[in-house]
Amino acid sequence: MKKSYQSFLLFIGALVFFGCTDTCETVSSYTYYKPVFMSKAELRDAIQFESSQGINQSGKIYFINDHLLINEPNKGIHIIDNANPENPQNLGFINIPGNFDLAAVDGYLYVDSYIDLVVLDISDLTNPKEVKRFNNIFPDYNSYGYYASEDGIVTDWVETTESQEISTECDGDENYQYYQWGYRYHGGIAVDMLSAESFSGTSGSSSPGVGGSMAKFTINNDHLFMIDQSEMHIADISNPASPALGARTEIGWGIETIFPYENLLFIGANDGMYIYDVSSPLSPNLLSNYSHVRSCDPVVTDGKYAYVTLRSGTQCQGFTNQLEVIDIEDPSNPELLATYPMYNPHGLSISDERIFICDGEAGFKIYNAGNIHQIDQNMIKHYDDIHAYDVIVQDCLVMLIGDDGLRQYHCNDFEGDITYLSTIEFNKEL
Amino acid sequence: MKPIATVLLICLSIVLYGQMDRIYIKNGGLIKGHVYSEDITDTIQVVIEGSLLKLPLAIIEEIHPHPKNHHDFMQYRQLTYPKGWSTGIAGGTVFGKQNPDDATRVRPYVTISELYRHHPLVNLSLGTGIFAYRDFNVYPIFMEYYALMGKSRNAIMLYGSIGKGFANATQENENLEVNGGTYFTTGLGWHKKVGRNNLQVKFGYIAQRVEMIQELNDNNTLIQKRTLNRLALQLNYYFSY
Repeated sequence: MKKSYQSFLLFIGALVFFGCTDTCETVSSYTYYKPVFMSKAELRDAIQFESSQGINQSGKIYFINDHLLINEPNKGIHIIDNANPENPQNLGFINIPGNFDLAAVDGYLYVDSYIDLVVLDISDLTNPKEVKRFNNIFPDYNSYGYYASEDGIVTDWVETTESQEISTECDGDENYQYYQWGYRYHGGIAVDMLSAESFSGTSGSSSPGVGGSMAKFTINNDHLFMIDQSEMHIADISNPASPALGARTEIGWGIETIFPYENLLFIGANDGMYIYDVSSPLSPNLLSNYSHVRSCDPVVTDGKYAYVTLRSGTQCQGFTNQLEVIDIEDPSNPELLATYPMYNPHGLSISDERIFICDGEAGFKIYNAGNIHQIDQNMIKHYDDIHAYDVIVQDCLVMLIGDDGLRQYHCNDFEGDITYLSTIEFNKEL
Repeated sequence: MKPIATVLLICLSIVLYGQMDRIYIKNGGLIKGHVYSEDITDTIQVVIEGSLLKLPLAIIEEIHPHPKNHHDFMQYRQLTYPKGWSTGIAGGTVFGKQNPDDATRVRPYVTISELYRHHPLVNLSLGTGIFAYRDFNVYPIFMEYYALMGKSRNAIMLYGSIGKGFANATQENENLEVNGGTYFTTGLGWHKKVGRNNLQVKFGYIAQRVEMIQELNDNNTLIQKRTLNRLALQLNYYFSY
């Protein structure tokens, strides 16, 4: 009896000593953004006219024959009948994947579609037809996460969460080390500890944003000028239905804006404003580089003076808020003539010696620019309750673009008040 | 698998216990047979292998009639298994290792429970408690079963429980979330009853599932599903009403 009692105690002791051991299953769950690819065949079969739809985000706005063409970045173009600015009508939407820019002339619309240049016959705006396509004209297309590769075109990024068993050990230290120095890369964005933290620390979201395309279009002297990354493509559109591509010209990196005036092209880039003579369009001639302005600074010109707004902000990394007037009578030698302090100026426009400036929270300002040395003393009107980031003045129509929509005003001969006409709302159904 | 094993074990114990009535004698003896009695006053009659045996109630400590055997006489009911409610408190320790190379760790726990005694083989309780591990605490809510292999005053017992545990980390860490999971125990013990007081010593196996979710950053989460395999030594006290 005593022996069995001792054996029992020995058995219990052995159990306790050797004991039971935990079993573990460690799973790594990670989130990353996975690219959604569209094949090139799908891309080239996607353009079609669709019924009208709400405008979620406004990109470039083009005004042609009483119609507004409003680009929905990366998606296509809304067609608005603006014959009566007091009651604009949304006619429809042209689905153009990867479209960020447009230019139109004589019933033809030139658009980018990711890597391609597409010519559309818009003589009937409710029935646009693709008449020509130049494949791979923008091979280096890349717009903040939207790029072309052998797998096709990245058209979207979707948040994806995956789980994977990484260990059956219960000792946590090894697991944590693995992640401390590990990373995840799935053909898209590599997410390691550092980048993941910097993503969350800076923006609160690691989703790639939809940014403006590197392609910038403008038409001047029967030629279409298209800037892609660092190069300028030039196409002769004297036959608008069938552009003839010319040679490419190297411009430089960081191009943001392109503005034509007569035989000149004003190109805003990271390191300044380039002025090109395009009197011989297929052989642009660089006249000068005015280095005072920065990449995000909008430039307009009346041919004699260039007007530039400089503003502080994270995107442009500037520290000043002012309007600059530059003498460009001699485009080879631009000179700064005057500087006027502003609150936080964004877009601007000039028409009939009037300068229209969207000055951030300070509102919308209209100046008489007859005397460029006393612009600040010749304010015609200040609307501190109108907040917009860009302005287009076409004839006597003032279009102000803000986050909530495009508001139209009548200029009233640019004297005194402008008169509100209508609003084309963004983010809502028209 | 483990809960199924427990159920099988319980069934086996019932079968092995036989279909005969069990009469515990105050001198420690056990008589198995069929209680057969009519118009009795101070004795019962037991049929044992065809023979009839008369037993004075005064020498009988306890009678465990088999559920299948029909008894419509009431005189000895006072000697049958004491059905009723009990409230219990238990304390114990669990032994086990996180990894094979680790030393065995001993952690304490306490539980409280409410028990209903229906039959020596059917005792069910509902309980909760706290298991204090190094990095987290587990709070199980469980239903426990035990069967007595003998008289209610002094018996070997077989027990098992199943439930769900809740858990939290012992140190505050906003990036760490600890969740509980299945709770399971089984084992053997010894049961002793003195009046309304019941004492049990149990030794067995405990398995507890916990899930630790550590958010390393916005994009990476580490989920460790751990089964705590432990041996448990427990002292249990019940007060019967």
